[in-house]
Amino acid sequence: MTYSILTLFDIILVLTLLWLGWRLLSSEDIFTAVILFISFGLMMALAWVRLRAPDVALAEAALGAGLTGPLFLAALRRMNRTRKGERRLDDHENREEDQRTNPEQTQTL
Amino acid sequence: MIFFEADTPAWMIAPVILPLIAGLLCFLFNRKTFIIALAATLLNFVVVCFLIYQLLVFGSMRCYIGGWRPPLGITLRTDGPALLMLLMTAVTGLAVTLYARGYFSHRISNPLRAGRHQRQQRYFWPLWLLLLTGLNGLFLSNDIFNLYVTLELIGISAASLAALSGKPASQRASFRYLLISLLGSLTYLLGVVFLYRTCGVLDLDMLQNLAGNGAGISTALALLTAGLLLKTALVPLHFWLPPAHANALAPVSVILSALVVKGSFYLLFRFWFEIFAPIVTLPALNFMGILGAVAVFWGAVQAMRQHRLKLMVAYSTVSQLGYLFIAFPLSRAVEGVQVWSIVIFLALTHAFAKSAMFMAAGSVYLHLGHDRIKDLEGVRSSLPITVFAYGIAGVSLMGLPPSGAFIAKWMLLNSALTSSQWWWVLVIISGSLLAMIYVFRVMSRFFVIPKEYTLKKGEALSPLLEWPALILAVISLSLGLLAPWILHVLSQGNTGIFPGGLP
Amino acid sequence: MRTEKKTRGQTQNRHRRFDSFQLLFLFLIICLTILLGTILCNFPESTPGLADAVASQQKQSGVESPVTAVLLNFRGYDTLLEVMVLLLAVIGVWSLARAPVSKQTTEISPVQMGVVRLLTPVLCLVAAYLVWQGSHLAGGAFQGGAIFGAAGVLLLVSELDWIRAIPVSLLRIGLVLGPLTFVGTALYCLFITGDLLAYPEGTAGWLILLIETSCAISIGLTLALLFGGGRPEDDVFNGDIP
Repeated sequence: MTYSILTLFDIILVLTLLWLGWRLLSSEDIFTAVILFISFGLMMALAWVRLRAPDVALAEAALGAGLTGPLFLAALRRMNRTRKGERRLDDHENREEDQRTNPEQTQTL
Repeated sequence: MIFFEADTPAWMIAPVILPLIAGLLCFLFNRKTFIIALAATLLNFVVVCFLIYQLLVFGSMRCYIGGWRPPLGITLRTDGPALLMLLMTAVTGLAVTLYARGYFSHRISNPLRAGRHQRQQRYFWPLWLLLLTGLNGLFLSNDIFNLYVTLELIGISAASLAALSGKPASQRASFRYLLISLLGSLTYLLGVVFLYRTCGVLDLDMLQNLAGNGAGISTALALLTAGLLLKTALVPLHFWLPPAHANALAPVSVILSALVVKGSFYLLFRFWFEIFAPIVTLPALNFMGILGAVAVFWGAVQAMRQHRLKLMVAYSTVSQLGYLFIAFPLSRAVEGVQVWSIVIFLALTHAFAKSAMFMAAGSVYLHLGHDRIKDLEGVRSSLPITVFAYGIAGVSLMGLPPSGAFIAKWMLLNSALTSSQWWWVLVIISGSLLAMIYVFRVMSRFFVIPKEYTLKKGEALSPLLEWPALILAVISLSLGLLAPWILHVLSQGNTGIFPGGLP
Repeated sequence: MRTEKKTRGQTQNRHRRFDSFQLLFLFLIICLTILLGTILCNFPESTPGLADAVASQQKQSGVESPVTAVLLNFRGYDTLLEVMVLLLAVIGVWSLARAPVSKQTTEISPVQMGVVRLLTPVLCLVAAYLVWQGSHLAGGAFQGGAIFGAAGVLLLVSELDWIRAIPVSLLRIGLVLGPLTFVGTALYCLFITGDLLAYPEGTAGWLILLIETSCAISIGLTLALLFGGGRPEDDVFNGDIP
C-alpha cells in the first residue's frame, strides 16, 4: 500500500518538475521565470530526498532555492536599472577617470 | 617530520599546490603580488624540471593522495607526455608572468586611466595563478572526476581573465566563452556519469583495463569528446574563440591561446589513444581528421581576411589546432608511428610560437595604440626585437626547419605517404603555405617605412615587453634541435602507445 | 498601468514563444535525452560502484557519514579544488564590477529589522549545527555554508551601517580562511605522514571538523558576497601603490 502511494507521489513529482521546467523556459517575463526557478529548486530538493540523497537535497534546497533565487532577483533589479538609462557602475567609474585625466578624449580604450 | 627523498612520488603535488597557495596569497595581499607570482612560477619551473629528472631516473610514477589506493582515492601520475605538457606550461607561464609585469607597468605608468589598469592588475595575478593550478592539476591527474574539477577551475578562471579588459566587446565574448565552457564541462560530466555507471570506477588505469566494447562506454566517450571538443574549439565549434582571445588583454590572450586550449586537447588525446583506444574506430578517427582539415583551411582563410593583428593571430590558432586533429587518422596508418610525439611537437611549437606572436601583437598595440594591419608601417625600426620575435614565431608556425612543427609535419607526411593516404599530404602542405601568406602579410607591413617617417624617440618599451616574446620564439624554433631529448622523455614510462618502439 | 504591461507581455508571449532556432535546439535536446535514456535503461548489468569500498574503509576515515568521508578524506583533493572554484567565482565577480551602493537613507522598516534580528542568529545556529552534524548525518561544510550565506544575504538586504563598514581586508581574510586552512592541513599531513591529506592516526575526525568549519565560513561569505554583486568600494586603493 505504502509502496503504491510513494510511487504515485514520485510520478506527480516528476510531472511537476517537467511542467515547471517547461513553464520556466517558455515564460517571456523573466521575473516569472525566476519565481518558477525557485519553486523548481524546491521540487528538485524533494526529488533528491526521494532518491535517498539527503546531502544533495540539503544543498539543493539551500543553494538552488534559497540563494540562487535572490541572486537572480538582484541581477534582475540591476539589469532593469541599467535599462532605464543609468550607466553600469564600473563604466561610470571609468568615465569619471577619463574625464578627470583627459577631458577631450572620451573614447574608451 | 618526513624527509622527502628524490624518488618520493609526493613531489608531483608541488606543481598544483605551489600556484594554489600563491594565488591565495595574491588575493589576500595588495602589495608584492608580482613577487609572489614570479616566485611561484619560478619554483613551478624548477619543480617541473626536477620531476622530469625523476622520470628519467626512476621512471613513471603514481602518487596516491591521502594514501588511498584506487578505486577509492585519487591518483596523480607522471609520464612523458604529461611532463612535457607541464614543462610547456611552466616555460610559457614564466614568460607570461614577466610579460604581464611589463604590460601592466607600462599601462599604469601612463597617467591616463591608471586606476583602471591597476584594478586589472590586482585581479590578474590571483586569476592567473589559479588557472595555472588547474592546468597543472589537469596534466597530472589520473582520475576522471578530478579532471572534471580541474576543467571547472580552468574554465572559470579563463572566462574571468578574458573579461578583465572591461570593454563591452570583451565582456560579451567572455560571457559566451563562460557559457560554452560550462556546456562543455557539463557534457563531460554526463560522460563521467555514464562511465561510472558502466564501470563503477573513476581511476583512469582501471578504466583502461575495463574499457571493452559496450554501448555505455561508447556513449560515454562520445559525450566526453563532445564536451572537450567544445573547449578545444575544433572547427564547427570554434565560433567563440576568436572574439574571446582577440579582445582580451595581451597577457591573457597569450594564456588562453597557448595553454588553455591545450589542456582540453591533451585530455581528448589521452582518452582516444590511451584509455579508450580499443573502442575507437577508424571512421571516427577519419571524421576527426576531416574536421581538422576543415579547421586548417577555414582558420587560415579567416586569418588572411582579418584587418586587426590580434584577430588574425586568434584565427591562426583555430587553423593550427586543426593540425592536432589531422594526427588522428594517421595514427593507425603505420605500425609503430609515434602519435604522441607528433602531437607533442605540434602542441609545444604552437604554444611557444603563439605566445610569442600574441606578446608581439600586444607590444605593437601598446606602441601604436592600435593593431590595424594596414597601418603597421615602420614598426620594424622602433620595435626591432618584437618584430624579430614575430618573424621567428611565424617561421615556426609555418613549419620550416628546425622548428618542432617541422618535425611533426614531417612525421605526418611520412605516415600519410607510406599508408597511401595522399589527400592528407595536400592538406598539410597547403595549410603551411596559407600560414606563410598570413604571417608575411603582416610582416611586409612591418618593414614598409613611409617617407616622412621619423623614428619615435623616448617611447622605447620596457625589455619585459620585448624579450620574453623573443625567447619563446627562439625556443619554438629550436625545438627541432631538442628532438632527441624530447623523444627520450616521451619514451619514458611507456604508455603502450609505442608498439613498434622508437627508431 | 501594470495590467496594461502585463497584457502586452502576454500577447507577445502568445505570438513569439520560441524562434525556429530554439525550437530546433529543443527538438535535438529531447532526442538526445531519449537516446541517452534508452541506452541507460538497456545496460546489461549495473555495477555496484564504490559504495562497498567506502563502507569497508569507513572506520579509518574518522567520520561516520559516508558522504563526508568521501568528500573530506578519500577524495579530499577534489574538495580542495572545488573550494578554490568557489573562491574563483568571487574573484571573477569582483574583477568585473563595483558593488552597487544604494543611496537609500530612509529608516529600515521595523518589521524588516525584527525579521533580521530574529532570523540571523537562528540561521547561524542552524549553519553551525549542520557543519557539526556532517560528521555523522547529512550535512557538512557546503550545506552549513549555504545557510550561513543566507544569513549574510539577509544582513546585506537590511543594509545595516556596520555591514557596509566592514573593511575589505577582513572580507578577504574571511574568504581565504577556508582554502588556506584546507591547504595548511593538507601540507601538515604531508609532512607528518608523507602523503597529502593522509590524516595522522586518530586525528582525522578533528582535522576534518577544523577544515569543515573554516570552509563553511568561507563558503558562506562567498555566497553572500556573490549576492553583493561586485567588489567593495575601497578594494583596490587600499594602501596600494598610487
